[in-house]
Amino acid sequence: MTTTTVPREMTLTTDSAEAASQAVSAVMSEEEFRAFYDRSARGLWLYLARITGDRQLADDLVQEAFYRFYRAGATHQDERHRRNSLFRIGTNLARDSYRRRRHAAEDQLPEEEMASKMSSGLDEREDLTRALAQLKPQQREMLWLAYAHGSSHEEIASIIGVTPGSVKSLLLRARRKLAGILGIDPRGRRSE
Amino acid sequence: MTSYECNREVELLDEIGNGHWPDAADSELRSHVESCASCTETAVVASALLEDRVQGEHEVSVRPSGAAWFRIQMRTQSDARVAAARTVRRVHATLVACTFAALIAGLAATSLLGKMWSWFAGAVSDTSILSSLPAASPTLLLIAIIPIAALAPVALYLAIAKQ
Repeated sequence: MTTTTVPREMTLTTDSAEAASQAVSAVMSEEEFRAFYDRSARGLWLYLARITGDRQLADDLVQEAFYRFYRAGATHQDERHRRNSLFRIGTNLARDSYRRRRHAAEDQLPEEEMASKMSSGLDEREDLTRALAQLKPQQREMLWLAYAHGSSHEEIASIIGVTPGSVKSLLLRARRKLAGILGIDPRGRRSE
Repeated sequence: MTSYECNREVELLDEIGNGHWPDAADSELRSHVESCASCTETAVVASALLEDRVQGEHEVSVRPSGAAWFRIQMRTQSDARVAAARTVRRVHATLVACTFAALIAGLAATSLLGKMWSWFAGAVSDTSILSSLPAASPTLLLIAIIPIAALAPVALYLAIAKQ
């Protein structure tokens, strides 16, 4: 396994942590919105690109998610709560897009076709993108939020709309399935 | 995260998140992961997803925050105009319907009053004062009612339009 220095998703800078510790008001000023957008848009785009397998769709969904978030004008307890709300909107928009694709008779995209939309061209990442394409949308969502985004089980439950108690078992099942696709057998050994 | 299969999973995830896994991680933790199926699974999956996320940062393409803010404001204003136009159309349709209804009601009322007047005039036809009243009274009544029926919806519109 390669060593990779990875920034922790939920590590905020000092300034932003200070702002985040205060309760955020419902009506966002331009300054507040732009600061929040700068902190959140990239992570949201990457999440949506991975769960939908479509970068162009992710562009549209990010814009729509921020628009709906802004128009909702909801009150949030803190930065995390605000971000979870944004991701929940994005997740729901992604699911709407799955349904539209199903109705347009694209429900069973061949694995290769879907994976090709996500592929970066690198072998290891192609393995992962192909593996993710074989999972159900909710499984992709949970795995990305848990391991790439660093969300807690409560946050995952809030974002994808399940009870907190069910996250553990659903996540385990998803992880097991992905590990199996990547070549790790139930005993924890990588198959050749 | 809470509620893991193995009680060392949090420690493992921390090491992965800090970029210490596997080479800079504690040897004892590495030994544990090799013997723990759950942690092996976690290590493979979490490492792959985090790696993908780091590499994916280069692919991210989002608009600058200023452009996003501008587009949202434009769209908000556009939505407000569409909603206002819809409301005005509904009010217009309601007023037109009210005007027609008022006219029909006015005609019906005039006809009824005309009949009542004829009956009243007949009942007191020998009274000199009443016999001197103009015979065209129903017509005068109609002339009085129609403008009122037509202007009432306009007055209502003007009252609502301010809002």
